[in-house]
Amino acid sequence: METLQQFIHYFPQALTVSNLAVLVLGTIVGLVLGALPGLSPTMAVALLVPFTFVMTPSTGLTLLGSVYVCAMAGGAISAILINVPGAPANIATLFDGYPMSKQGKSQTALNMCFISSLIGGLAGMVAMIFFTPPLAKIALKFGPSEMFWVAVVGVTCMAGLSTGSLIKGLFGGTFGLWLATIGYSPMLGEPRFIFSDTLAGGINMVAALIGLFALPQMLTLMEGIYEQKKFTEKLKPEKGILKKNIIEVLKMRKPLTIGSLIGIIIGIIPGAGGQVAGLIAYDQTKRFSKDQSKYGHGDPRGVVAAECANKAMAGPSLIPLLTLSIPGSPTAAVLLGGLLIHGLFPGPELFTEHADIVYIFMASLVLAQFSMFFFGILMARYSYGIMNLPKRYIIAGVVILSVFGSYSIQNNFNDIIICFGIGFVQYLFQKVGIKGGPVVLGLILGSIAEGNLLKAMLICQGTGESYWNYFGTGTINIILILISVFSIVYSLYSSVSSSRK
Amino acid sequence: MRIELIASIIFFIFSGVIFFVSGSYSPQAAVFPKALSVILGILAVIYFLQVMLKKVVPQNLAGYPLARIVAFLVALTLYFVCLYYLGFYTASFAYYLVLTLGLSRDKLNKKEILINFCSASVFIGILYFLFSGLLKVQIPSGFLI
Repeated sequence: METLQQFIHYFPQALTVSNLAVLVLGTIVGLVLGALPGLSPTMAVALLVPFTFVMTPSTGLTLLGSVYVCAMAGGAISAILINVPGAPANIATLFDGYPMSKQGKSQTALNMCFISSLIGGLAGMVAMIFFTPPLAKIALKFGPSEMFWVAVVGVTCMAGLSTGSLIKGLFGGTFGLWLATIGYSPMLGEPRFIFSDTLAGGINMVAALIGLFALPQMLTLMEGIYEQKKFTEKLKPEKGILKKNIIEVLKMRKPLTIGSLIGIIIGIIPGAGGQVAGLIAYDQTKRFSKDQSKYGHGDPRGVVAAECANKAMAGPSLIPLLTLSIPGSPTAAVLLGGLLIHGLFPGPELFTEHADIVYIFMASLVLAQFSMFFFGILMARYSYGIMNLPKRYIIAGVVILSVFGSYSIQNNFNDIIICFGIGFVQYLFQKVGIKGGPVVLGLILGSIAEGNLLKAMLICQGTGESYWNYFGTGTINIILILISVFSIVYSLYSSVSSSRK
Repeated sequence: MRIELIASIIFFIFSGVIFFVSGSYSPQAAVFPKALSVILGILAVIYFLQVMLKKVVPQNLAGYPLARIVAFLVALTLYFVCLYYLGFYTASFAYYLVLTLGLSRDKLNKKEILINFCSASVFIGILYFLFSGLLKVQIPSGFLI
């Protein structure tokens, strides 16, 4: 109840003119960038992080939060209209969304998508508001060994669950951990891996985030620059169709319940993300349905379940982020970057020392669900114009914004070189199947892992306790080790079972 | 299969370089990077074995537009050079115009050039208003703007 009281107490502060203006801006930018095939929500948030430097922390986080919520919703527009998911989270949406569009029910599919997104998104927010502060209190009991294992859990979960190959995922995560060691050691002040003056200041997180998510996508767009699906149909909404669709969606209790619950559970697991949530929710809704034959041929229940699930995971994916610094998805990892540059460090203190900022952020995420619904339905009518934008304009625009974003962090030209250097390495990594999610998580968790490892070693040396005893005993340590082992074993099991099939 | 094989060898060499370089640091500063290099080395060996045992799905690079990607990277490098000497707005305008004209599928004619010129002007104009007018943030400066 205390959490709810705090939330209600700070809610009016999210309604200031500047916050609302930024919320609307973030909604529109998120929907547009999400609707553009080839641009991911992660990249959208990463590109906007530098814009928050000139804002107060709460306003800046409102901008990032609204883009985070809305970019995924925008991705459903291209999935439904042109059979190209705007983000991996929208893959399950196109199974029935596109067939609906081909049957001339584009408007219905889009309306149902945004209505179920609103319901799923709000369910996820409720879970986030109620579960985050109590979990943050548990984090108070964490010492150096527990925090070290938390970092290990983050990397192994992301590596195991978010990529096709465990080995490649672990390689990406470990590479990210190594990137975090470049520059002067924060605990010892010793320079490490500074092969050139450009690296003297270490790897700036925001520059790396922009590079990891923007440049590889632009190079991939370049590869298929002349392959673009055109959408020519102009949507003319029927009178009263929205009201009719709202009633229809509210009657679909099973897809809504399954979608929301799966989204919330998947959201809390680091690394699983909206893609997994959407696909599992779609599959389970189909399994629990009496007439499964309609799925895949334009059944609105498929759209509702998938969209409800991928929005429901957005809020809970912030629970491990705000309490333990473990992002639930790559986009949440970029949001963590946004928190850190404003001097906000996840953990219990965040809810005591910066309660105003955190609860305004949560309130803005709730408001973003409504603005996503309102502007989503409004913008869907004009989405053909956005989706038909030639790729060359997108590439030129994103490259220029990436240059601005990486430079403006410290007004340093070296950050531009780091941004594009890491981006190019990530592009090469993608060619052998190593994705950006584990790399960015390793980069973020690297300093936590190393700092706590060194602290723990000093404690052991001081007390004479063995490393094995310090790291390997205690309930929390054992639980974290088991989670880490389980994520690896589960990933191995699923890859072996899928190769047998 | 070749690209995966080359990648696994590069990854192994990379892990060896980290291990070797870490040796020059103090024991405390070296412990974490050394541990990472060992993990990277083990993962590279497993990856190599997976490739050799054909447990890895080979990446299909047939029809890869190498010339286009190289041209893009060259244009990007030139953009950085211009950025340093000319300044953000001038270099970005030139980069936007060159890239959009260069990647245009249609034959270059006056209309096409005018459309792209207007598009570049509007885009850079919006950025100027946003960065220098509204947000007042510092941007890379040269002898032009």
